[in-house]
Amino acid sequence: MSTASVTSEEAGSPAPVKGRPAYKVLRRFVRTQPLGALALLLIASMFIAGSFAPQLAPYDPLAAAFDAVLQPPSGAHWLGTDNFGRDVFSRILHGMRPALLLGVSTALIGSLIGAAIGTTSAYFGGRVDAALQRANDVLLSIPLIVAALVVVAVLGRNVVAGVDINLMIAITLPYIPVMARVMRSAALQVRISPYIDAARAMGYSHVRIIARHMAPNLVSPWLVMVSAFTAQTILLKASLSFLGVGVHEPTPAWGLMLSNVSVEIFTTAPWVVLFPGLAISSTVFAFSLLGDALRDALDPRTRH
Amino acid sequence: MLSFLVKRIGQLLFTLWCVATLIFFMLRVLPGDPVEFKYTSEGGVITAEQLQQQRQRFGFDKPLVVQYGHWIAGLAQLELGTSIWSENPIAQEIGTRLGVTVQLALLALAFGLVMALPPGILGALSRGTWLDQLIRVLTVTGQSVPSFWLAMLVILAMLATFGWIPAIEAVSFRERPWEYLAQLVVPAAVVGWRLSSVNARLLRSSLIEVLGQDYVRTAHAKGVGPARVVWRHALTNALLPTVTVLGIEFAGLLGGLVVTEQVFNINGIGRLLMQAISYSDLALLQGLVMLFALIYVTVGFAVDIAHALLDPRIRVH
Repeated sequence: MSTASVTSEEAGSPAPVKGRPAYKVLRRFVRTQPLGALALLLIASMFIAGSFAPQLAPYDPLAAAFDAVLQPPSGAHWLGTDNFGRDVFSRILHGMRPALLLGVSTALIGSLIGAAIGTTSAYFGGRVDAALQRANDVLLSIPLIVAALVVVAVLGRNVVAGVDINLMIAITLPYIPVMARVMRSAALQVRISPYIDAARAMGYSHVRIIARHMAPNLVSPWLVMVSAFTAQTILLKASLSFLGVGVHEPTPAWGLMLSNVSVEIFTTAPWVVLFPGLAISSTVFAFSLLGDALRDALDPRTRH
Repeated sequence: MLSFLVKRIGQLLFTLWCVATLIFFMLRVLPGDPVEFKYTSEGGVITAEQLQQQRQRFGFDKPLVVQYGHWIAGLAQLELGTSIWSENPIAQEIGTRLGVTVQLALLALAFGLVMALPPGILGALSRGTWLDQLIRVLTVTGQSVPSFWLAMLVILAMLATFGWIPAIEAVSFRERPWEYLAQLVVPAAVVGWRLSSVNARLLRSSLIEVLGQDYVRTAHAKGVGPARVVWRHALTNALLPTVTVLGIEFAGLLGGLVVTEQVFNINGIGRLLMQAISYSDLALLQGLVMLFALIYVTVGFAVDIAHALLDPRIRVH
């Protein structure tokens, strides 16, 4: 840490953050990252549509109508009906809010825990770092989806206020080591910056240096990560519900809408699988694109 | 090199022991008794006495510590135990299904690498232009589309254009080799497409980095044609990080096949995992988790060795 002053400058370590008015930041982002701005717009409109699903949806998402089974898209049913005669559009709209909430909240919680572990690991280095890295290795050696499946199997269901807490845990837990690893490498860059050495020379406590000096400079990589991981958690949740894990019929969950559809049904009535899949893909797409644009906008090395 | 090897093997065994311990105790908190589940789930009735006998047979009557010792001792002798549900040795259950999953994964890996080349190279060469932006949108799309949905779309498209889809029921390679291959190619291409979008991004950024290196400038300066510079001088170097990541992701890829095997009705490891979960077959489940962990650490080890052989600087610490 004593030799850091010159090398860190050359390594292009992030400079301390300066306050800038929010609207200017947003304007600059829209101008330099049009695709990212588009993604942001898409996400905002999906949040609004999802929040007002009960008002916007033309039908009850659970109401079966056996006289209107597998109807093609029409004026009455915009996206057709499924094999129980339920309106596909209403079901997609009702599935939007849980998908977004679960995706964003798991990515937020997981990335905060991961960031805390990664930053601590990078700050202290030495034995603490080695021990945390070993623990990380152990957790990373189990594939994400396998870990999530095992956690769901172990915990079972625990629905509180309409949200399956255990499903949230199952999706969050496997991502924590991944996030800790990403944040550790970002924090290592900040760790060797001269202003951290200065803070240590001033005699500040470890907690104060991590919280007040390192954390603010890790906000940008963290933001990128939250956006990218939201995309992945939404995808993981869809995969789990496709496998019939975590949610059960007749809940309007996107992954579940694609599950249990036989080849006969989806080849004769493709809208049953087309639109829910499109909903998953476009949501994940918006968050990935936003993460990508944020990475470009915030990382000084890729700016040109 | 020898001390590096010994240290890495020590780490590897330690990681595996930790995974074995973690999964063992995690699965013991599972509510319900897997042995009771086995005999009562399909409407069967079992007396307390019979249940006790059966539990004894599977070793569930012993204290947890003894069971744990048995599990670790078994692993040390490469023994995974017996499945509770089918009562076959777990090694046999895995053995009969591992082949098809590994074939699928390797084929997907090949697709993932080959399909990543055009967008990766084009993206790097046209950095900052509209073409680069278009490729970015395409690769982000590739990462956003769930593989099970893409699989359904591919089946639909094949039916619409050829009026034919690969048979869903299992066929053996010996009897009908073409049908067997057709069954594997479609799922492998679906998974490979997703992989290729991730790889294309990696390839683009490492190619951009390599193209700025001195040896590329030297090659240009000594009159090597532009195509040859990209293919021979830059690409061979830029592929290394991509291939490394591919290797590390191999175990994750096997995990991801759980969903694909479900869609295409392939009786592989993923199917076995779903069975183990729905039957709450603890023995099988912990055996499968160990298999994934073993593949992950072995591939990681192989990648490290390859790097250490290629780059002496890594061996130092």
